[in-house]
Amino acid sequence: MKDNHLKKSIWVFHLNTGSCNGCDIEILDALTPYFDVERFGIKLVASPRHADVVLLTGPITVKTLPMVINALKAVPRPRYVLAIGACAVGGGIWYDTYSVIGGVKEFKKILEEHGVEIDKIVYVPGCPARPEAIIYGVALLLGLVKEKVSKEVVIIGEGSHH
Amino acid sequence: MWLDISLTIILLLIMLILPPVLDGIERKIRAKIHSRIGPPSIMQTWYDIRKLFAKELVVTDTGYIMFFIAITLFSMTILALFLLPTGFMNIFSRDNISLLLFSIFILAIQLIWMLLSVAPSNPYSTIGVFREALLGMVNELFFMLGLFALLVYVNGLSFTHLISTSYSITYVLILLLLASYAYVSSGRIPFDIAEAEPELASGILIEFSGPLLGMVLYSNLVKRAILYGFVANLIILPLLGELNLLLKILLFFISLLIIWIIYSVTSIIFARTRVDLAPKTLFFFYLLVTILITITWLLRV
Repeated sequence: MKDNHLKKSIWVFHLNTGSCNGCDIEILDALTPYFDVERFGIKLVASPRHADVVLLTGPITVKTLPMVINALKAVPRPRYVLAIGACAVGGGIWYDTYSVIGGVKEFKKILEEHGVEIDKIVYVPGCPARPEAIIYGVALLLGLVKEKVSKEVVIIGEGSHH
Repeated sequence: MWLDISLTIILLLIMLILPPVLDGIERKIRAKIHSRIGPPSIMQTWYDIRKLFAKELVVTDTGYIMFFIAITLFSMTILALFLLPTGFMNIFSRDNISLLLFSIFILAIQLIWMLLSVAPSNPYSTIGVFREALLGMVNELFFMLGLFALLVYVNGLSFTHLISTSYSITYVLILLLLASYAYVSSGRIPFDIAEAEPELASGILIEFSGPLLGMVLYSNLVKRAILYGFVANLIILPLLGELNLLLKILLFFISLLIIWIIYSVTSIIFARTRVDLAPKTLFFFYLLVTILITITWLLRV
């Protein structure tokens, strides 16, 4: 599929995996007329079968895991995931708690076991993530804006003032 | 003869391209009323459909049945489009029974929509189709009554008979009944209870994905254009008379656009109605109009 097709029309599905609702309220905020995401062709859909991007919030609790896998399976490919908030990114303060998977990183391994492929994941940290950051995350996912963070690790030597 | 055939083909192609563009215009107007910018261009709905056709199709247990019914829906919609005059009586709408055939196609499309919604074994979809059926019982009953009144009034079964019709209070009332039918069956708020997006997770459309969803959404938009085009024809055909052909076609498209905009603005004003209230309200409204039609008919005004 050409990326161009997705760049002009992005349908998002909101998936709460046991979040405190902080990020969910921010998502709803991002979808209000104030931020007007329809400007970018973004539309909220009610069924995962219609979605291109899944807005995932929460640390993925053990209870929600089967439903989350089912919902992601239902998304037709190419399927993108936007991990929103500290919990979704790395588990947040729950990262080693007994009842959670611990964010998308662990979740990716479980998905691989179930044969569910995710084409691209973008992380939007924050507690909660701001609506502007969520919109920016979607734009980053589709390549509408360039990544500002480089994956290279720069080691600054001793004696440096920086 | 060749001019007729080529004009028919050109206008048919325009009618195939136009519905998503009109939807784009509607989205822009809706955004303006909300004081926001809205989609980047009026082609947004086309972009959405193009993307859906490029996506993967997730085949469910009843996927093949859904696929065949969706194809039937699409072809039936196109067939109804063939019969619709566009200010110009094309080679199909000139037929002796074109108006009757057109109405049968419209009713068949509604029926196939319901069939399509039953196909996926999903509870949300089933609830959606029950709501649609409940509304349809009232809506289609009065459509048939309205159509019967229209056929008797124009004294014929063809679209060509509409040209020689003259306006009267009875005709305006019949027009009101059929225009309300077009509004309700195009699934607009407050009568979109079958799809009721957040409440029923898209209702009847829940299990459709990728190209199948694209096809169903496109068929729905073409159905809208057909219904509004029908209303536009009812309004302008008795008025056109001996106008220039190009002017007639232009007038048709302008009135189609105006009707689409009026319907979209009306749907923004309303909120979604209650499930049990929708058929009741509709029934009393239609009953009132039907009684008025009967009275004006008897008084010959």
